[in-house]
Amino acid sequence: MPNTSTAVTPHVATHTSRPKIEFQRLGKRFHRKSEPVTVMEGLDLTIYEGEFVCVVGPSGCGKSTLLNMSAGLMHPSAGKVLYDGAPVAEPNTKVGYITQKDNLMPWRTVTANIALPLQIRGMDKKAIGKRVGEMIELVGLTGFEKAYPGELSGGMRKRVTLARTLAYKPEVIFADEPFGALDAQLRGVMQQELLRIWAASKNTVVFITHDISEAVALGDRVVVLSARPSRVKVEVPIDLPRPRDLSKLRFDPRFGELNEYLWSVLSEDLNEGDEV
Amino acid sequence: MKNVMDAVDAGATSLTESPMAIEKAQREETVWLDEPRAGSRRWLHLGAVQLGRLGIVIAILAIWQFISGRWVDEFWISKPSAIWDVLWGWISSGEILVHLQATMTAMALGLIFGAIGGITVGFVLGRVEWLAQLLDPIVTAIYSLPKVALAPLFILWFGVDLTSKVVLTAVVCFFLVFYNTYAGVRDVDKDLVDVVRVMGGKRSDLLLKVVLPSAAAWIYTGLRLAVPYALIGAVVGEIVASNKGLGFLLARAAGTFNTAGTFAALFILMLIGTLLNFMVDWSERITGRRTS
Repeated sequence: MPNTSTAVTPHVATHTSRPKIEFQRLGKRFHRKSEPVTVMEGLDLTIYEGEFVCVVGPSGCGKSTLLNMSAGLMHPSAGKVLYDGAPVAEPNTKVGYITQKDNLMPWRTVTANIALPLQIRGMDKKAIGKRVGEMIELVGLTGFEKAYPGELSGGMRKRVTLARTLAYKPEVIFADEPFGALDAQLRGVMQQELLRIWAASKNTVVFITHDISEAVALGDRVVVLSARPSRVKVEVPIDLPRPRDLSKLRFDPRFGELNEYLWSVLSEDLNEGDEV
Repeated sequence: MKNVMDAVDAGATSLTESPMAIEKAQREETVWLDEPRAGSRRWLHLGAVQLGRLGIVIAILAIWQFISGRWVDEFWISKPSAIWDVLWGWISSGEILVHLQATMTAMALGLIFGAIGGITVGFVLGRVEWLAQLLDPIVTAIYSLPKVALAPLFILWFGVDLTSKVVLTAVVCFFLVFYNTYAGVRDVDKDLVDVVRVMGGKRSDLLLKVVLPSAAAWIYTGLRLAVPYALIGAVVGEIVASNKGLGFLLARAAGTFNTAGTFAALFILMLIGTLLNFMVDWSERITGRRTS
């Protein structure tokens, strides 16, 4: 059982903002060599507008699947995914999606990559130029406008991805271990950058990670999924004040408590997850 | 903006100056090169290489000239001075232009038609999976055939004129471009497609903004491979049956036991082949930045 002496209580939704995404009795089955694998069963979760929610769970528990269903790239096998109270469109173009891979077009410059979603939306050239300029400044890419992704470092490419996603003002940002491929130092820098940008953009963010300290450092709430078939095991509100200074956060005793508690919850399922 | 940046700096930077500085340093690290040779020494080195190459060519020609008629019958190996006489004769009479033009025309037209066909069919089969499955054995069977073996058939169908050479060259080039285009279209990153779909991309956006540019590097590789093969196609067609072209020159000289003429024709083909390779390398260097 989780360590209860840390004074961390599982979360009970008392949000005043309205629900943005609702997962209701959600289930997902895959077929592996004609053998059905149930990844998810009876998962209930509500994401509120403007909230930064981090999702952690053992590997193979369907964290990415959850996002894919929210983005309308996959269909649930059971239950419902509601976006603004209605079933998710296919694909859901009101959201932005950032993954561990950069998914930049290697043949487009930084500017052209950020402009892509705006061109797709038929924005006129002048407006695109202005918006792209703002985004480049926001994510700190000034001076690299004409570079190709292949010429940039991993962190810079991440900034381009972020700028491209923010450019079309998605209501919700899905981040699937976006900084997983970066080294520890750079990850810290990018986490701080994300918080800075989020503070300005006020998007709803669903952030998937396997790194508990990342989840605690970034989120308003951390959702822990169980091993397969996964459901929500526990929801923990993160009552650390904002704005957060990530370089000092780790010395905050409350940060340590939350980390320790989440570790104890997650570790109960880790062995099962490894068998996958 | 300034304030937030300052806040970030104060936060993440007990160790470093700013987030950008870290990444900038990393970026610069990747472009560090070995210390170049001092300018004059480098030129000296390059000059020595060029001189050495020239020396080897001159030595070979001199030995060739010397042994011909002395140790080896001139009938078999001719000699550089005689080959030069033939070449000069072709050039001064202007005869060479007719043949050059014929071969280059066959090559260029064949390459263009083959490339258009290869890109089109490659694209369609790459996108329409059931059609690709249906046609796979047929395409593979035709591909397995040595294409130059079709030369007699095409001459039978289209005569000894330009058309038969263009068709043969086009068929040779078609498969190279087709297979590369097909592979390129199939290779398109599924994640890139998904990202553009979530951005609200329509079918046309996916094709024009993802599939086509993504396959472009592959198509380019196919075209690059096709260039030297276009020369092969055109020349083989001319060797089999024709009344002009470099292949015709070659076949005529060899058919009349004119060794000097045979070497002269081979020399011109070598020159053209080298030139084409240079052009391909050059275009590669120009486009290299984007595809790397």
